[in-house]
Amino acid sequence: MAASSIPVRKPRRKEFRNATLRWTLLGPALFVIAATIIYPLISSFITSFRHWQLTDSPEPGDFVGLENYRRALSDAGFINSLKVSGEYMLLSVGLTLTLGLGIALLLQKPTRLNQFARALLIFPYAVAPVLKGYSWRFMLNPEYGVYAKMIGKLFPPLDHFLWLGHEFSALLVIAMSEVWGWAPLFALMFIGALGSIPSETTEAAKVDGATSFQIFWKITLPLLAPVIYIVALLKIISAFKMFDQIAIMTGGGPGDSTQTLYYYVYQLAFRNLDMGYASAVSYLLVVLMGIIAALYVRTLLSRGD
Amino acid sequence: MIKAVNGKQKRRLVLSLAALGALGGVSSNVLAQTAATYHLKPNKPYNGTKVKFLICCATAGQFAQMIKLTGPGSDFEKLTGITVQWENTPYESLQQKILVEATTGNTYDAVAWVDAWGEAIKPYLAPLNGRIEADRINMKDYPNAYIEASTDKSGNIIGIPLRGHPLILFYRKDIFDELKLTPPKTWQEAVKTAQIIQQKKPGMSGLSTMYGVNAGQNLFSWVSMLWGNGGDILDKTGHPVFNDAKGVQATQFYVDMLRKYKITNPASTTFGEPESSSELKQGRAAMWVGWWWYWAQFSDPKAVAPAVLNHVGFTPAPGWAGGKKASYALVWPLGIFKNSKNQDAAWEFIKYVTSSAVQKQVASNRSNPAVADNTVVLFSGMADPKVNAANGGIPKVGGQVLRNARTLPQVKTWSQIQGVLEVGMNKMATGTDVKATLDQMAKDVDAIQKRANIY
Repeated sequence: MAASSIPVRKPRRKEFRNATLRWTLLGPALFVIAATIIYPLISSFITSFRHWQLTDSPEPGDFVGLENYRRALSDAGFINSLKVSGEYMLLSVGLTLTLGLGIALLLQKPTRLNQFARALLIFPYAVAPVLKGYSWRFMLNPEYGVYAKMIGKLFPPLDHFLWLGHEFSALLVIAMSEVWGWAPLFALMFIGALGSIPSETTEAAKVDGATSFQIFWKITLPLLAPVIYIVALLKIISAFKMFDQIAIMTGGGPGDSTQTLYYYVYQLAFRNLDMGYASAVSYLLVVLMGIIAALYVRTLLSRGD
Repeated sequence: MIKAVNGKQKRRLVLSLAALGALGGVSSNVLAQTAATYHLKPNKPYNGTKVKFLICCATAGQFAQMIKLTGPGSDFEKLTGITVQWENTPYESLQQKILVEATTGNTYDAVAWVDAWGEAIKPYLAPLNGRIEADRINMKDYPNAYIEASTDKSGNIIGIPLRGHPLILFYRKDIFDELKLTPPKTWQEAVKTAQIIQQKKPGMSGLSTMYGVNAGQNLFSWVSMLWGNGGDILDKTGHPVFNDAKGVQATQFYVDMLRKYKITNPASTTFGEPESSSELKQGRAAMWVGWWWYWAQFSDPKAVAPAVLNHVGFTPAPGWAGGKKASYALVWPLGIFKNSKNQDAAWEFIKYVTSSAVQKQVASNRSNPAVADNTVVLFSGMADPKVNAANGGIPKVGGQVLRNARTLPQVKTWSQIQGVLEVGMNKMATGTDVKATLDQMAKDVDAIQKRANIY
């Protein structure tokens, strides 16, 4: 009996030691996460139910229930920023996917030149968003911008066109500055996915007399669909986070036509110093992003299964 | 081996010691006199104190020079024993940092802020009236606009102007001479002059302006037109009135310069101060209305096109035809946080950097073009012959402008109001109806004021 009880005790002690070691090692990371993510999340959630105008008081004011959330629903600025974010998301996701897929199809064959081109693809993604903003703003200047001049030469009616001075073109240009970085990255992902499509399938289709377009439309695209879905979700999240280029290129203008949700929250919190309302709008954004992120994670997990 | 000291050597030694003693006395007298020049306390009562100063823009010539004058090993340190640490914060985040520091922090002793931010932080700044009186600081030497922006609702002065700017019309002297034009005195004249220039000099904008959304910069000329025409942004009770008949007229004119008279670059709907000033610097525009500190740039060979160098003239910013001449003057007051533990030492620093002597010394120093800066906040400095000689006479012209200049509304909601105004202004510049947009802007401002319990 005594001999049989010894082996039972030893693993328990070992388990305890292991658990202690685990928590000791995890502790600092958990503390940092709690301090930098969980605490601000809880704190800002509570703040979203309070009146807190920083110019009135350094401390949060009274609880106002759902007042801040109700205000958002009738706030033209919030509704506008939601609309702008939606439009921007559609533009940037659509363009990124289309261009990314196009580049992938072009560079699909593993020739030496293609491999060299693929290596170059990662560079635009490595450029900092703020730098992208300054560069694009400079390059689209109607007086001396290299892009503006090139477009003007190719399409004379667009010579001296004020790209950042019109509502749609400003949003388009901001989207393009982002697409420029993301499309090559997506192209690399698509090249990988294209490589995993069995060549027998496409060859069989060719034998059956299918055209290149039919092969792409009926075979390649459906087989790429799961990858497209995942990268699209990733890009949607990124699109809703758009801030840097807006701040650098347009400041939300012309008027408020490029004022995205993120930029609007920034304005509310750090210009208007309206912390309560800014927290409420942030949480609406969190809910929106949460839904998209949940879809993304669910898709990833189901693919894993 | 120690040599015996003979009589001759003894006499020399005594004389040397006497001379050293005399020099020491003279030197401490000189220090005391110098300290008095700056209204500083004698005998270094705050020796060893470190004053932390919350500020931005260390690259501004005036600040760059002052950092040298007050930093470690500086004249100020020798006079007072106080070391000043200039905390150079990026301009974009300065307002937030000031507010957070004012409400919850105790890191900094002194702070400089832009006039329009002031109302939100004034409750957290120490009143300076007693100190001003005790040290006989002549506040009449400052423009009213600067004093107004440095005063709280109870009438306490909570800041001493450190840096300030009147609006100046810069123009190309060579083109004006060639076309026999005189600098315009009103905005209406400016439009006519610009039209003539554009007719005679194709490819050149008559006047460079800024209508882009960028920290309220598209409001500078507009408020001058509004005030000149007898309008205002808010009435005495804080209600928006910029959409009344005078406001509509002034705003329509401001927008018409771009859309109807076409005297400015169409791209100015995206311009802020850097882009619009570049138009003049690069020779693409004949006139520009902006802050006087740009003069140092217009006279810097590295900053302007060769054709522009030495050809930029200046005159007071235009007024409104048949109306008042009242342009906006921007000021950075310098104050002390209530929660500072080094308030007395911070006051010594404030007295020094805002003193007439330091202001004049900095403004007249053109030994290094990179930090040359004509900015001076005292009328006596603006009238000083040496300062004017160093800066081509622009301080005197700035002084004229500042006699009638105004400051922005000192309300705690200003940052929100400015957001509404600058976006609305940009919308009108890109084509929305002036009256309808102004009405909507007034409605938005009204909502801001009500939410803040202003009325």
